[in-house]
Amino acid sequence: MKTLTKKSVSRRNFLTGTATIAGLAAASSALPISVANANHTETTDKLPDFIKWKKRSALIVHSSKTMETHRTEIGSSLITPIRHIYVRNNLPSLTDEQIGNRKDWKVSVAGVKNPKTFTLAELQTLGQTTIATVLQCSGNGRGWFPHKPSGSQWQTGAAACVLWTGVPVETVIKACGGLAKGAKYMTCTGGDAPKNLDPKKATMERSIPLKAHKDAILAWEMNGVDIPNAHGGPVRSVTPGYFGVNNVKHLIKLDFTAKESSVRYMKSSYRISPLGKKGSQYPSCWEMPVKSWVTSPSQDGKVKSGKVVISGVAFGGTKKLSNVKVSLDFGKTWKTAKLVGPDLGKYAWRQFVYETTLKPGFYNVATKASAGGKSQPELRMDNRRGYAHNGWKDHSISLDVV
Amino acid sequence: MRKLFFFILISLLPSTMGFADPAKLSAGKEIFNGKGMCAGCHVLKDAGANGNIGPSLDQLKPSIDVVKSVVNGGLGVMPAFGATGMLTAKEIDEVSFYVASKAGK
Ligand code: HEC
Repeated sequence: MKTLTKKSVSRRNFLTGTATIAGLAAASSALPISVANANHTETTDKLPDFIKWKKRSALIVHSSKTMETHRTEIGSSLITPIRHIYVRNNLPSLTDEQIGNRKDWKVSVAGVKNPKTFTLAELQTLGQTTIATVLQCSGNGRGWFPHKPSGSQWQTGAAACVLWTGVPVETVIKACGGLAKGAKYMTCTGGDAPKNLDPKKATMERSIPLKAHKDAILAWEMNGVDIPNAHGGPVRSVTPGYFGVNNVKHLIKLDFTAKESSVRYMKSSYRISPLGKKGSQYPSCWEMPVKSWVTSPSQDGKVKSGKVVISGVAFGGTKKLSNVKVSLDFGKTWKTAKLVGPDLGKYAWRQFVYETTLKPGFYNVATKASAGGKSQPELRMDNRRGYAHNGWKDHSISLDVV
Repeated sequence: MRKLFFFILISLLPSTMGFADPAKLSAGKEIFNGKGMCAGCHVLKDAGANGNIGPSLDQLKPSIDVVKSVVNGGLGVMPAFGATGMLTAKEIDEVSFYVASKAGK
């Protein structure tokens, strides 16, 4: 049994939504939605070169560097099509020229009995597995925070369900003679820090609790193709159940450390702190809380009365999803939805379906998922940077049934 | 009530629409290309800036509040110019006014 520090208590409260400072006001501010919808239809607006292979019409463009998947473009085939997957990089993606021969890409391993450096080709001889995980930006849902935190105003689409192929971290550790003494964190470093910036401020390095290494892999393939540069190839660490930022792109170092990294991206960024406060004493964006949302029908058009199929996605972060409930009356009554399609394990999302008959009128459709004995809270937990939103109210949609 | 509303609207217009204030604009541009180092990380045609670390400001077309808040508090690799005292409140106001007025133009 772990001792409950102050930190873990506040984190727990945060993630379950029991510490309620969440504001009631402006539950779904109209502005981000209309702006986003306008972008969605502006298909003439070209995508920047580094992701020009993406499908413009599937994406809501927030900036020249950030795009999210439109609600309906998550699709209903469980795995998110790679051309639809959101784009969010703290630092410019490495180019083919910077990467060079992909098979020669190097990852050094430290914090083990025999530290070593492996090329991608060598990693591929150690072992291989495939896992399905939900990749979700810490700020997914930021667009609903009324205090308008800086950064992209994501709604639901900074998330995807991805198949990754790579070598288990456990296998890599074994190939290096086991863990060295004193390891408490798995610390991954990305090779994308721009050369002209201070490495302490511009190196993407993330530490997660050591226990998370058990299901983690070093991946080179994503949904059947080499991981594209924009998603962190040639090698990316995949840390199931943990927010996107912990899945370090362009991986150059895997370390097992006694302390959390001291770079800015670990120490001060990605901390879930109250409004107006910041600092490393606040919980880091690590495990994702339980969450769900409707992906179909679209709230942008009208729905024909009669039989209606409502579907969406739900996941439990590091916990297995238990169930998803649907409410058509602003959360007064809830009915259990069916979980459909393949179950790719607790780190993937499940698709849910709720079949009903609707008379003409306006409906609010809310969904509430449960996992590990916890359910999504009604309201967001307000925090300075707008992280980890899993409140069901903001994520609900309105349907105009005619 | 309605009169009051129009009065407020009219008095807000010049600031929200960024009506030219040449001195403030040129002060803001100087900070953008100089002390603020914004040009090293962002695209902004008016400033001749081609930085590629943060998002293109021409495409983002941020409001003055969005600029102010991020220049104050920083974001990821972008420094917190206000919190660290790298820029004064007046300088932040100027550079934000400049960006909000010129982005996308
Ligand atoms: C070291 C590089 C760097 C410098 C210098 C820099 N920025 Fe940024 N800026 C960034 C990055 C990176 C982001 C995106 C951060 C993110 O989304 O996490 C950003 C984001 C922004 C945004 C968007 C904020 C939002 O809410 O989406 C604005 C506006 C902005 N910067 C303006 C400025 C201005 C004005 C200056 C100069 C005073 C400046 N930047 C200096 C890197 C920089």
